[in-house]
Amino acid sequence: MTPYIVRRLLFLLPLLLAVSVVVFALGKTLPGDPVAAFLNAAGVNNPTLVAEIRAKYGLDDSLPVQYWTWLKLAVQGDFGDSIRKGEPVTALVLRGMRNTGSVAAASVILVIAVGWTMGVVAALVHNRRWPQVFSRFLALFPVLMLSVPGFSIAVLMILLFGVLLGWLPTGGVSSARDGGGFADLAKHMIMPTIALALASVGANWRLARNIMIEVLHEDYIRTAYAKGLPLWRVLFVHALRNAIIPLITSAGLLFGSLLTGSFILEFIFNWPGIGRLMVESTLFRDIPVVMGGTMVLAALYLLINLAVDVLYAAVDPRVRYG
Amino acid sequence: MADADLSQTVTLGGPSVPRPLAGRSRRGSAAGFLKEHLALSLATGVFMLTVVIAVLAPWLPIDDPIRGDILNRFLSPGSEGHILGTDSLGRDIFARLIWGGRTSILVGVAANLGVTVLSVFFGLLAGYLGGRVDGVIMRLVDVGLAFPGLLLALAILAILGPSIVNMAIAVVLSSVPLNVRFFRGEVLRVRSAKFVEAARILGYGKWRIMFREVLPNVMPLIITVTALHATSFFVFTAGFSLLGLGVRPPEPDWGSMIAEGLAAIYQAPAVLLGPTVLISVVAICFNVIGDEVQVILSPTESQL
Amino acid sequence: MTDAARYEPLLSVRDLRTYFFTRSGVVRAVNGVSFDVFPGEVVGMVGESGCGKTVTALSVLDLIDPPGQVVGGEVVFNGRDLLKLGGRDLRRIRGNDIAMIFQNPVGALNPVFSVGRQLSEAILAHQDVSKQQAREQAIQLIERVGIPDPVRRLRQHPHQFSGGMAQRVVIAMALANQPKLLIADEPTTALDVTIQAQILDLLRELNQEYGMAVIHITHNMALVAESCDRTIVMYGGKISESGRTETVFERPLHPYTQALLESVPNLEDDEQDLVPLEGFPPDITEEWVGCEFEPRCAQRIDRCALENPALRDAEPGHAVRCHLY
Repeated sequence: MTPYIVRRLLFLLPLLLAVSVVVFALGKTLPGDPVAAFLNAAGVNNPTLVAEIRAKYGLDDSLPVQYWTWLKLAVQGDFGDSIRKGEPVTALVLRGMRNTGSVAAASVILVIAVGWTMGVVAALVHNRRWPQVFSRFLALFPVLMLSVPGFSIAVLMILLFGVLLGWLPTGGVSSARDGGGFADLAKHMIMPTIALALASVGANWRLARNIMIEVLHEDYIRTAYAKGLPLWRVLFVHALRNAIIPLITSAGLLFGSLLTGSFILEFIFNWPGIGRLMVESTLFRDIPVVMGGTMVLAALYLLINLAVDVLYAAVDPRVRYG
Repeated sequence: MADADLSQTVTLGGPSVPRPLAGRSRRGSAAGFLKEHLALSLATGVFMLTVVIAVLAPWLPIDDPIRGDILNRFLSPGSEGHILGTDSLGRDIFARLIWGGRTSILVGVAANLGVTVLSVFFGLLAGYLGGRVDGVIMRLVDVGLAFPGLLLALAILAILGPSIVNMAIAVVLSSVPLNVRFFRGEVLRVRSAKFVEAARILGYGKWRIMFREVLPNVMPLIITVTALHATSFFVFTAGFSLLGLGVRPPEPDWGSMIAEGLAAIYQAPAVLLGPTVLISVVAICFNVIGDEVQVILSPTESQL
Repeated sequence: MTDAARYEPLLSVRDLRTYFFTRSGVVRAVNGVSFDVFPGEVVGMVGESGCGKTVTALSVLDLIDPPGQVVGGEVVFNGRDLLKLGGRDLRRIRGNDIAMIFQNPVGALNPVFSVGRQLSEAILAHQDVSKQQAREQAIQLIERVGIPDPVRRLRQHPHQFSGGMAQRVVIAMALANQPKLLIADEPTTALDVTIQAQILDLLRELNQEYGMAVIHITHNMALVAESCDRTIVMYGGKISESGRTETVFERPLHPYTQALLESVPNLEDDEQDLVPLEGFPPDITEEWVGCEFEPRCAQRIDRCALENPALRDAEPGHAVRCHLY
């Protein structure tokens, strides 16, 4: 197991490096002189000042040198300051990730608790002698869930539960009148979490159902029955253990879709997360934040993929002792 | 379920009994097809209607979607001259919905096709030519895949600046790597087939083999995949426009209309509903069509 | 075993019918099958693909998945009709009194668990022993089926076993609780010829050592001739002929059996032309009128197309379903 992990880590490093080059290159591709542009926008037209600032930040050095400087700082966690807000990029990014993290974590729980469970249930209903209508419903409902875009659901929920019924807050992390605290946070999290998780729940439900149905047709399941094992053991020990394996891979992809979803949903719900930070920084052309945020998120993504691969190897002996 | 009356299965004599009994005849009519594939027919119907209206927008007798009449803002649906009312700047919502659909759908389809064309091209190159070409392309793909979701698209947009074209480019570039890897896999599979070897032995050039032998055999998968992620690109387009990263005002677009509607949610909730419902319906249609295309083109996949 | 016991069948199947209710029609996979298996004997079940032999075997232990269902008949084992047993009682018989092994050995084992764990599981399911004791039994079983280095092997996973080795493991699992009857569904079809011979030898040893009856299902006539005491020939979901192996092979009565034997190439005869069996197996989604084999039968008479013959003893111990007798 350990050599597997080490191997994967070694493969990771050059990839991270390549990503950093791409991010850096993107940052440097901005046409025109960023310093001059910024100062111009602030109404300052002073070439000497521009030259001074450029020298101070090493913007006149050769590209490789600039890259090296940037990389050195980046590795220490210093991505400079946000042009828009003046705060250090790292602080902004971390705060954003923490805020998104709560909704994302809740979404993952929903995906596993609802998506996988319903998928397994749907497969069981399909296989046993239940009326066809149940089976078809359990097969088609997730398709509906993953067809409707998250932001549509979000908007409709806000309209219904926020504006019309007034049950739930329409945005933000907390409301003054509810005065902070866990219950307040929870109320604010309900709609964003559902909107963010819905498509993934549907996708995982459908996937779990298909996987489980396939597993249940395997020869070793028949052998298990022939051995005289009770139903629960065949399903939850033999079948489930095999179905889990491809599902874990799917769970790894969640990070990507949740992040993408957060771009739009955090805007709609006015949630101060990393998604909203990235979008606003893009709109504002706040390059340091875009670079820093991209770098951190890409690195995190690679690490999560690694963790999923390791988990996969832990769970599937064919990979380990192949 | 047939009852277990077993006496029927063993015969009774009599020369008039035909043998074996005729099997059920299949319904070959068009009506039968429609009934069996109800969801598909419905989806295609709605979809075609939407596309037709969107394409014909410039010639339809509707208001100018951009010209606003600030004195008449937030008119309710059913008001005179404005079937669905007006928005915060007095623009006719009905017209904006139709023109907005045009933008959302056309850009979404364009992005989808762009991704397909580029991914197939690079997938072919990487899969068929192998060697260094494959190595370079796959390393680039690896780097591209290191960016989760549409993060790369955001970064690209930050550089290029928001606009419809830039957004389409950014989304396409962000989505190509994954598809390249996928198509490359399929190309590798087809490449090992005998007829490809035969073409090589016959002395055909590699470009000819790639495009005349390999490509047609990967086509069903290409069509399936394109149909399946049509929804995504449509939704991404709308979503990015919602954020202000794509279509810029005053151009109408379903995504940006939702954003405008959100700003005015307490004054005129109806403004939101139009684009939201339409996006949802079209997305569902895309999905149903995509799923059916997959079922039709992959007969080996058992329909569970 | 006293003579009286020998004449008391261990398993008695009467008019078994298993149908599959699919969208394109009702598939009558097993359409009235009756046979006995006596203690300690090896019965071979032969027939073409799709003749219903596997489904018959699965029906005995009620391992039929939807859309299939056993719709009629009885399966009497130890005085009880298995088809009428409730879940828990049936489970006590599966893997315990009656065991079953299948065609694809590596696939028949769960890939994510060690072989030892799966073996112990079979033991613990029916015996009230500790895990340690189960493990010891597992080691003995593995050794008995001829796998060297048992302790190490038990820790391994199915994908680390070759086909022949895996089949031995599967056999060990089936033997775990000393069943009175082993149903072997094409146990050697997926294996190399040399390995086939080894597995067959193993089965024969076990049959003699434990007095365990075996139903050996195969489409290979040669295997049956070699190892089975009695032979049952199936066609179109029904039994067409059955009797002692020597009798059936030396004096085949049913035209189908004759054709089968004729189609087996004879190494010693240089001039023999291969005589294939013309035609196709019957389409069992439709109700069949008359004898199932009639369209392909070289000896058919008018009656054959109109009336399905009953299975009758043409001579003592040799039954046939044909109007010629």
